[in-house]
Amino acid sequence: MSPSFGEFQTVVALLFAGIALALALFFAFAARQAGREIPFERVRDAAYRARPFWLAFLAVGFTAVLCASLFFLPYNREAEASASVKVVGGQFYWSMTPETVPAGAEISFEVTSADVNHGFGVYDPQGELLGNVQAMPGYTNEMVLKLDEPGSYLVSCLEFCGSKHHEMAREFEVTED
Amino acid sequence: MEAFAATPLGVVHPDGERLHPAPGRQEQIVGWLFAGTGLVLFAVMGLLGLTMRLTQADAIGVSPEWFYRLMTLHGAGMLVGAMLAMMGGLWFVVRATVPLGFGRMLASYSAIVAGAVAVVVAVVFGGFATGWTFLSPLPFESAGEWSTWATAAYLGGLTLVGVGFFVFCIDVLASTTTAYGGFGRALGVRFLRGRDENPPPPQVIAATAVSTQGMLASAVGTTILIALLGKTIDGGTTIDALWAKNLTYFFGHSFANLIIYLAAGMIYVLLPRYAGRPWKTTKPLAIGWLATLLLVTTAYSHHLYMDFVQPGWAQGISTISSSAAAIPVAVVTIYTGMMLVWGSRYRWTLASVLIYLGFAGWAIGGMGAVVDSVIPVNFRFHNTLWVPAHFHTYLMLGVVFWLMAFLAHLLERAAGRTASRLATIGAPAMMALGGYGLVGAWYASGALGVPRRFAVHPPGTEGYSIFASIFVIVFAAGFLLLLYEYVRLWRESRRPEARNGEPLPAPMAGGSQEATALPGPPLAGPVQLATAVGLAVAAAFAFLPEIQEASEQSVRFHHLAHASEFLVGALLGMAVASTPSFFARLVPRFSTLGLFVAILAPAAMMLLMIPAIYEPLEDTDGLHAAYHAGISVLGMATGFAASLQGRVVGRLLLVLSVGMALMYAAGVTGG
Repeated sequence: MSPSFGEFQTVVALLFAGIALALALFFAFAARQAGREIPFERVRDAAYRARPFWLAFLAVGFTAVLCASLFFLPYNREAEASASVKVVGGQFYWSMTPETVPAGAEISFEVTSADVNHGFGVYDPQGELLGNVQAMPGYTNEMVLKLDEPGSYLVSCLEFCGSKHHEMAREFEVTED
Repeated sequence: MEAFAATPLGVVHPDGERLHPAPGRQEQIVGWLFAGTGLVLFAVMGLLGLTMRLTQADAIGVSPEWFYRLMTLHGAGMLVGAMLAMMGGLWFVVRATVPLGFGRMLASYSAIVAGAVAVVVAVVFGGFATGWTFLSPLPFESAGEWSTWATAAYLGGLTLVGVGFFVFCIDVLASTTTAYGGFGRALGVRFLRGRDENPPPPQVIAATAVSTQGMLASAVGTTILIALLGKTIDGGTTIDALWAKNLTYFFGHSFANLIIYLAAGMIYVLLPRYAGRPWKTTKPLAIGWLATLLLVTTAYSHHLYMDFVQPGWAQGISTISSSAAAIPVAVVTIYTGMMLVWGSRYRWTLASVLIYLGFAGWAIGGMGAVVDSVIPVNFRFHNTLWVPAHFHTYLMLGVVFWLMAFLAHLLERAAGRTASRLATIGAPAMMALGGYGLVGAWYASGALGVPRRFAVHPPGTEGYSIFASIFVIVFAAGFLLLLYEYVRLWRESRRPEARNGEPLPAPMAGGSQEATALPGPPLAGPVQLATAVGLAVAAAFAFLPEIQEASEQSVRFHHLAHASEFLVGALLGMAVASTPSFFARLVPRFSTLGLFVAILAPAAMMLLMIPAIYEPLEDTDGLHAAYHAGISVLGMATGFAASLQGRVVGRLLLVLSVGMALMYAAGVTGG
C-alpha cells in the first residue's frame, strides 16, 4: 500500500508552507533593507513600538490554536468505544485480537509491547495515516479510532525497534456489519 | 588580554569592531579547536546522511543493518559536532568579559571526543544501532545485531559526552555567577527589578541560562545512562520503560535544544560586528531568557504525546511550553537581530551572509516544530519525516550555518580580507537551495505519512528520496566551495603581511568589576550551617535499624534509603567545606579537582546501587553496614567538592546529585 495525503495533513502542510513562504519573503525583504542606511534611533523606536503588537499577535494566535486543539485530543476516549482490539507489538510483528473490526464503530485499540518500544500507526485503505500510539512494555496505551470505510487497513511500526523495523507491518480488515 | 592584530577595517562593519573586546590567544585556540572539530564531524556525518538518502531512493544498496548503524552514528555525531562547535563559539565570546577556565574547557573537549570515539567503536565494530536516542529496552534487545559490550561502549561514550558538557556548564555557571555577584544578577533578574544599572551583556545572560539548564539535563542524562549501564552489568535489573523514556527525552531534547541557544549567545556578539550596532541587554531580553530557561525545561514531554499513559498534566504543560518557547525567540532574539540589521548598511561577507541565513533557518524550522507540537497534529505526524524536516531546518540551516559563519569570521579576520565574491554568494546560495530542497521533500513526505527511520521507504515514495538526494548533492557542492575558500583564507592568514594589519582599538570595558572575585561558599553564616547539619541529622533516620529492615522489602524503598544516606553525607560535606577557614584555603587550589569529584562521586553512588553489586554484601552484617556508610561517604565527597564551585553551582550540584539518587530510586525497580 502506498501512503497518500490525507485531508487533515494537506491542510496542515499548506498552512505551514504559507507561513514558511511568508517568513522567506520577510527575510528577503529585510536583506534588501539591510543594505540601506537608516538612523538606528528611527529603526529602534519603530521596532520597539511594533513589538507589543507582534507579541500579542503570536500570543493570541498560539492560544487560539491550543484552545482549538483541546476539542480534538486523542486522549481518554475509551468510554466512547463500542468495541476493543488487543494489540501486542513485538520484534517484528503485530498481533491483534480480534483481527476483524466492524465499520463505523469507535474501536479502542489497547496497545502494548512484548519487548521494546514500537509505534502503532494505522493507515486507511487509501494509505492515509489516521493516527498512532506507542506500544510500550509494561504499559497499555488505549487509542480510539472510528474506521468508517470497509477494507484493508495497514498497521506500520512508527517507533524504531531494530533491524527489521521497516518490515514490521500487517493488515487487518474492517467489514460491513 | 592579547589583541588580535591582523584585523584591518573592512572585514567587518566600520563601527562593528569597537563593540567588543578583542579575543585573546586562548579564545582563538578554543574557537578553532571546537568549531574545527564540529565542522569535520558535520562533513563526515553529512556523507552518512547522503548515503542514507541514496539508500532510501534505491540508488545504492546498503543493507538495513548498516543503514541503521549509519543512522545511529549520523544522529549522535551531528549532535556532538554541533554541540562542540557552539560550546566553543559561546566560550569564545563570553571569555572576553568573564574569566572562564581554559583547562576545564580542554578537559571538556577531551571527554567529549573520547566519548565520540567510544560511540564510533560501538557502532562500527560492535554493530550497535538503536538510533541515537537509545530508548530502553532496545539497547538490550538487539535481535542478534549487537552484543552487550557494544551497548556498554555506546552508553559509556554518551556518558562521557554528557560529562564533558557537564564540566563546561559547571565552569560557565560558576564563572558568570562569580563574576557578576550571584545567579540573579548574572541572569538579569536584578536588572529587571531595577536594581542593576550595569547588567551583564546578552551573551553572559544567555550563557548563564544555558549552563543552568545544561546542568539539569546532564544530571538527568547521567542518571538514565548509568541506570542502563547498570543493566549491562546486571541483566536482571528492571528499568521502567516510561521512566526511561521521560529521562531519555528530557536529556535528548534539552541537549539538542540547547545547541541553538548556545549559538544565540555567540550571535549576540558576532552580528553587531557586521551591523555596526550594539546588541544590548534590555528588559525583554532578560525576560526572554528567564522564560526560555523555564520553557526548555518543561517542553520535552511533547516527545511522549503518543504515550497516552503519560500523565495529562505533563502533556498539558508540554503543549503550552512547546508553543510558548517560540515567543522569546520570535519576539526577542530574531526580532532584535533583524532590528540591528535593518538600515545598518550591513557588511555582507561570507560570515555575515551565513549569520543572516541562520536566522531564517531558525525561524522556519521553529515554526515547523510548533506545528508538530500541537497534539492533534502530532497524532498524525509523530515519527513521520516531518520530524527530521523541522529539526534539520533549524539545525542544518540554522546552527550549522552559524558554525560555518563562526569559522568564516575567524578566517576572514585572520586573512585580513573577505572571502571571494563567488564563495560569498555561491556557497551559501547552493547550500540554502540544497538544504531547503531536502527539508521540503521531507515536509511533503511527512504530510504523506512516510515514517522516519525507515531503511526502505514505502512503495511509491522513492521519488521523494531521489528528489531529496539531488538537493543534498547541491548542498554538498556548496559546502565544497565553502571549504575551498576556507583553505584559501587559511593559507593567506599564514602570510607575514596578514599578521601586520592595523592594531585594534584597545579592548573596551565590558566585564564586571567583580570579574576576578573568588566565589562565596554555598552555606554562609551559622544559621545556614546549622540548618544543613539539622537536615542531615533528620535525614539520618534512614540508618535506623527499623527503616533499614523495612527498606529491604522493596528495591524502590531500598534505593530511597540510599538517597537519604547520600543526602546525609552531602549536607555534612557541604557544611564542613563551607566553614570560612576551610573554604578560603581550599578553593584556590582544589576547585578543579573538586569539580571532577562532584561529577564522579554521584555516578559512583548510582553504580553502587546496581542490585548485583550490593546484594552479595547483604549476607554479611559488617560489609552491609560498610556499604551504607560508603553511600554516605560518597555523598560527603560530593557535598564537599561541590562547595568548592561556589555558592550557586555548589548548591545546584547538591540538589542535582540528591535528585539523581531519587530519580534512580523511582525508575530502577527490580533486580
